[in-house]
Amino acid sequence: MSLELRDVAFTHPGADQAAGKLLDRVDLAVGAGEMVGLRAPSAAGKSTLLRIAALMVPADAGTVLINGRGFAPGAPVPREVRRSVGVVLQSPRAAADPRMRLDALISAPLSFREGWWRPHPRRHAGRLAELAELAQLDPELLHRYPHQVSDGQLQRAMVARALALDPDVLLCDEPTAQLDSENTAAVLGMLANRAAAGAAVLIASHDTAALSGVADRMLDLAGINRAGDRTGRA
Amino acid sequence: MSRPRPLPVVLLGIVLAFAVLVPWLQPLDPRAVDLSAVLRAPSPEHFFGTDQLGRDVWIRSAQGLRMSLLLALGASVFSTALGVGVGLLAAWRGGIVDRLAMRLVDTTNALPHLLLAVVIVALWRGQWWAIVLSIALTHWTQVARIVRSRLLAERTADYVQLARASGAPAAAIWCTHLVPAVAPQAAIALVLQLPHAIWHESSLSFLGVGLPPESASLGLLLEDARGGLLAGAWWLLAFPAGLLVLVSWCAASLIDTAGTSRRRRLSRLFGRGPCTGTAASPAASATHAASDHAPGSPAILVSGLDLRLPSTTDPRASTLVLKGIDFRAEAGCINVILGASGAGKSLLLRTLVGLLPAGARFTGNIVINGRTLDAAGLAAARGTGTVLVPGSAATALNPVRRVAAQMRQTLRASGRPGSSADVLAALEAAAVDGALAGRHPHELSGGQAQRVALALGVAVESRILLVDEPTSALDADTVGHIETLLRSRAAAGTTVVMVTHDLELARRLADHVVVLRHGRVVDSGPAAEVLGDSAHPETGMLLGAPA
Repeated sequence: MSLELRDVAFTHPGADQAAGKLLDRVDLAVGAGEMVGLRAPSAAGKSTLLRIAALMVPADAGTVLINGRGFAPGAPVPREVRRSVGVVLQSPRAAADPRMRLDALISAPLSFREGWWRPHPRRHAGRLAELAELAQLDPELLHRYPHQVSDGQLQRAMVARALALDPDVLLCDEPTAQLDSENTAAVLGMLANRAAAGAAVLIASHDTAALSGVADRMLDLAGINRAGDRTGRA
Repeated sequence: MSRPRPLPVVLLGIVLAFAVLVPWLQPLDPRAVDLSAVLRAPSPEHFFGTDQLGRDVWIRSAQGLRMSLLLALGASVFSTALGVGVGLLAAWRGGIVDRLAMRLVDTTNALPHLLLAVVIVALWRGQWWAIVLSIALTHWTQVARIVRSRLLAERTADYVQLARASGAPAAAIWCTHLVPAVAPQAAIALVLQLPHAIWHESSLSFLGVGLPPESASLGLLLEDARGGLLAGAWWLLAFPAGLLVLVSWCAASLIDTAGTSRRRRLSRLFGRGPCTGTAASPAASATHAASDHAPGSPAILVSGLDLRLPSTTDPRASTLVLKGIDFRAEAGCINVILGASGAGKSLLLRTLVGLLPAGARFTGNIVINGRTLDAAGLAAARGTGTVLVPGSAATALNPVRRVAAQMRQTLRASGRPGSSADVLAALEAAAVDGALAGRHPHELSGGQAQRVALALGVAVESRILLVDEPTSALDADTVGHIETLLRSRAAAGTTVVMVTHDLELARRLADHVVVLRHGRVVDSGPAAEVLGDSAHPETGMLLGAPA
């Protein structure tokens, strides 16, 4: 249960190779049971780094290691490796299919693992109730569509979805940006729980106050990213 | 989906009943000829008169309509299925398959449809399936294009990427996310094709390459009418043509309602185009004076506001989400609405701009700048008198236009010059780096998008500015810029209403504070009182919660 990035570089497609480097020679390691906060100003490449770590976006160079297994950019990733990685994105609105109810959204990874092509919330009623309780979601909310719940409620549902398969590696991009202090505490609690169960958890956020309370250590992206001389505040 | 309008539904029902029941109740051999009753005008005996061969036009019209509808239905189903199939295949396989499929679409589009259809029908004269085939083979291309482009866009959506990253098999992604996204498009395409196919079949029959002349279709009846008209028999043309127009109109009206997507459209939040006709309202003037209503009267006064949202399980039931809200926002002040998530803060803002979810109803009194407004009035003031900057900035920006173009549109809609310099000035006034002006929204980070959304909202210079969680994705540095911006707007006389859960921000900015909990106001008043030591227990809970 570990995550490691070695020598990762990334330039936005179309940008000038020399000047537009977003990430350069980034090394990063999160061990089992560790919760690491990644701190960076906006537009510094937090989201991109997380998507590279989640194997959603191929880097230009470097290796991503999930549980010690290395993947070069663009290398095929077996499904069971993907299932051991949980991802929470910044905007729950964009990360939730607007045509699916919350119960379907949360239980989809469970159904897909069993080989179904559609989410079947009723088959996973037990696990769903467990996850809803963990996320402090009222059972009535589970029957709503994303546009019928608040940002905070939706983000808690998306965290529950990411936790559904008990991931070994948990990657979160600003998971608490849209939440009030009560919900922030709830979400960070859910993530800390998963870390306590042995997962490697990496959380990118600018809200360092809330994060430093629960994280084992804080990392500055500027400190590990050697593409630091690019345009500062953007 | 919204409820269909009653008139087209009723009319379509009557027309369908006519096409089904009349040939069944009054069977008539289409070849039966009665030369003793040729070209009779409409009468109680023959409602629609008779034709040159003495056949009853009422019955012939019903038979013709039934035949035309069946052929059109077959052609639409076939062409939609073909289009969806090709579109899916192109988007799924990509590469060479995609290129071949799209060139086939281009080639088919380049051929004259009627010519191609005539060739197919001429190969199998008088066969009904040849007509279906000829229409379907020339009309599947638009559907294929729409389905393909929709799928390509949908595949880059965050939720599809997320499903893929968490190990969902391709088949599951198709069945769960992609196919449901194109299904409504395919349904609309099917309905749209229906009237078109009816016209197409009529053209073929009129040209004499359709069905054999003794059978009945709307096109054949029109062909008969051509000769009859010279003899003054207007009824031969009027009734079949009337039916043709009526069916087309009904189908087109139904598409109108079927096309309403469940997803909310937020693109009209900032500024309204000059064509909407309300831009000339006094509130739209950019050079308003803050003093043109009685001093001391609040800019927004909400009393006894109840908001009901339709229940998700029972279509007739509804849930009360805002309960007896009393709220006042003083002009030229920063009013902060505090509360836990799910308390109804954003819904309150949305009510004030008339942007509620479909089926939502509110009761109570909303007075804005001294005028009591209903839902329509609130919506009419949106973008001019009141502006809402939504919290989820990523979905509020127009994805296909650059930042500068969106700002220029906003400036021009509020009656100001939109030169490049003006656009840059407006962006920089809102702490947006000028370098972002040339970017599309997807090239912005979350925090940048939020600042751009705020910049657009501020640029309208409306009298009332509603801001939903403006700082949720921003670092401390940028939050400082935004605080300065909001303060300067308030100092210029704008009424700022800000929803936030950030207590520290509220302490620094707020003049007045309202605290919501479960849809009720639990505390309100000047910031110093509400956020001070003698706080209400609910506020205290927010205050005491870990930051």
